[in-house]
Amino acid sequence: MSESKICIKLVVHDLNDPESVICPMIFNLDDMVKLRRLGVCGILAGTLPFAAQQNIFLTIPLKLMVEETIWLVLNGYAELQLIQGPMTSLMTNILETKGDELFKLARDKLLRSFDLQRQYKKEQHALKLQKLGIDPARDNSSANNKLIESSLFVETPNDSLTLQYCHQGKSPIDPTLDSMLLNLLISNYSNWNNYLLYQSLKSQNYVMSPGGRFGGLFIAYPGDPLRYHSHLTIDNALDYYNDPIDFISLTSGARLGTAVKKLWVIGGVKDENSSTNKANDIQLNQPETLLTKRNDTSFFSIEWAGFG
Amino acid sequence: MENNSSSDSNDRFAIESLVKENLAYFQYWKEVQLEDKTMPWRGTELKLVSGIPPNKLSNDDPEIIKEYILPVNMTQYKEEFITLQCLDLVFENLCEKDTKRIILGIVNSDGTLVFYFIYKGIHKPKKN
Repeated sequence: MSESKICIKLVVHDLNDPESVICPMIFNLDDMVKLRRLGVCGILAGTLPFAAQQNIFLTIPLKLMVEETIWLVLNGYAELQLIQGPMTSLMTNILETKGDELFKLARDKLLRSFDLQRQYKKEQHALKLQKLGIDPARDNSSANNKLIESSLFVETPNDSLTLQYCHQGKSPIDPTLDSMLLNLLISNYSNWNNYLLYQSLKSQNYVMSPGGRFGGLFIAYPGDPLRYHSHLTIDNALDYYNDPIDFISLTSGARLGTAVKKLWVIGGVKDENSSTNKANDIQLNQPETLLTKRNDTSFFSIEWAGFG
Repeated sequence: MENNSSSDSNDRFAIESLVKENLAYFQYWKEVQLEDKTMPWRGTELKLVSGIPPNKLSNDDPEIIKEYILPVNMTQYKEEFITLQCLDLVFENLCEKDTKRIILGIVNSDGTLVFYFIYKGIHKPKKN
């Protein structure tokens, strides 16, 4: 893992307003491959604006869960890249200043691709005719050219031409900014105890996905989701000492889980000073404080006993 | 909560009896009894019910084993009754060493009962 860090892009409108943070995204295919090897899957979200489709056809960007993002950053696999929103004005600005340039770039790329395709198709056609013993020079009908024109592919690019203008150059790594962004993400989407559950499960080689489909926070696979069914539905983190176990959520989660061969998992973090909850505001200068907390989690797995 | 510790223990006794009778007469369990060990918890004494089921409860069990049941009242979750710490203490104080699971016997307000396995830690789903 000596390669360059995975780049997670994060759109924030206002650094003082947690609600203005948009979920973390990956725009690079190579980064996606690296993530998959690390057991971080994310959710593909990219589609063509006029052809919203089922997820089998989706492409980048890859949306990441907050917990995945934090785990990647804290373990040094990824870095955050801030895109200061709002996106509409940012995009308008880019289109106004760079629009012509981008248009030309995109058009030239497309025309070049068409040229290559035409050339290839003509060569293939000539070869075919040669095999049949026809002189290719004699067959130059416009009908054939029309056919070729109608069979040209428009390639959807794997990366965006526009995106490079969203942030001015490469920002120097700023730990306080990183820590601030992670805190924004957590306060808008999750909490640190949920992260610690994620971290603890990750250290046991589980691969997590969003668990809304089964009524939980995560679902956990014992390996890559393409090879295994998920085994666990994990509920939101509880306070180990104070939060009561909600039997209604437990019975519904476990009963549904048993029907789909999953265990319902409740877990919590043993944190003596959890009453303040502020104690968890991390400093990325010492990420070890969070990284060493994995032993302080406690899990119970629940399933229907099969009677009653 | 202060003055009703006797009503709390009555409550415990009521749901313990209900779970015991349900197991013995409705589920046909054998040797159903209230265990001697007690554990103080939030102003009351927790006890486990034990018994032997008529058949294996999980395909992963090598044979029929003695099961331990923690009776709880469905409404008690509102009173911050059972916490994760409580479950850990139950495993520690009321079960034999190396007990992997207990059964939660949840008593509903209409007198019906549901039973759920609780495994300590992360466990694999049972084979069907």
